[in-house]
Amino acid sequence: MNFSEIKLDFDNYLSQQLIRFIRSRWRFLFRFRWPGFGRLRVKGVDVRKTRHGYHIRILVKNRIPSRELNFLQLALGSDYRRECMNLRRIIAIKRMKSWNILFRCKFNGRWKVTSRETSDARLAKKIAGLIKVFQMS
Amino acid sequence: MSPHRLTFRERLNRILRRMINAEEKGDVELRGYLNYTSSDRESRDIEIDCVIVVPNERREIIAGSEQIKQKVKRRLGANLASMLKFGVSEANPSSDNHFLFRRHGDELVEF
Repeated sequence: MNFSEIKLDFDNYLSQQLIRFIRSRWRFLFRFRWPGFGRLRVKGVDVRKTRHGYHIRILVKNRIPSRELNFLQLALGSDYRRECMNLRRIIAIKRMKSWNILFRCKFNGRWKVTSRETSDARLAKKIAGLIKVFQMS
Repeated sequence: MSPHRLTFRERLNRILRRMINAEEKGDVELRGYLNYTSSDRESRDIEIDCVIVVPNERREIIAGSEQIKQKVKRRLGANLASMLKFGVSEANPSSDNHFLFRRHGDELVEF
């Protein structure tokens, strides 16, 4: 499979703060020629709002190995605790095939939903547009 | 136009809604997890990661989480079982069931 899915978890961000962060950091990362898999070729962007922030999924036409994907997610600003846990899963737990998780919904032992994703198509379109501009300019 | 006749936009919306609903069907990964780290007591550094693949239906998800809870309770005790959190994420071709546990920096073991 020559596609990879970059999954980013942004906690405690409002949409304007997220856009400001993306403008400040992503230009370099989306223009960079990464060793092993080259410049990121974006196929689609999906953004979902959560209780504390946003989940962003970016489908790219690059085959990105696990450790590089983990590094890229950290560089793109995903929650550092999540990416540290992911690194531990990748290295230490060979049996854990699916290490890159973003929950659609979370609940506790008493079935109380504590967080649920809702689609934010407008923000997804805006971020996809920004990435396009970064890669063209 | 009769009041029951759908406009193109309504028809499109209906199709899209069906497509989205269809996408929601299929399997999901249900994960029961606990990442508990105590900085001063290594023995209380605990990680539990249990996954079962279930159909994306409320009833199945609830039954699955009960199954995980019972398994953790039998192996690790009621206290840890009561601390479990659960999450649902999309399944992929490599999704598989597993029940893993580690305490104070040891390797994860299957139970």
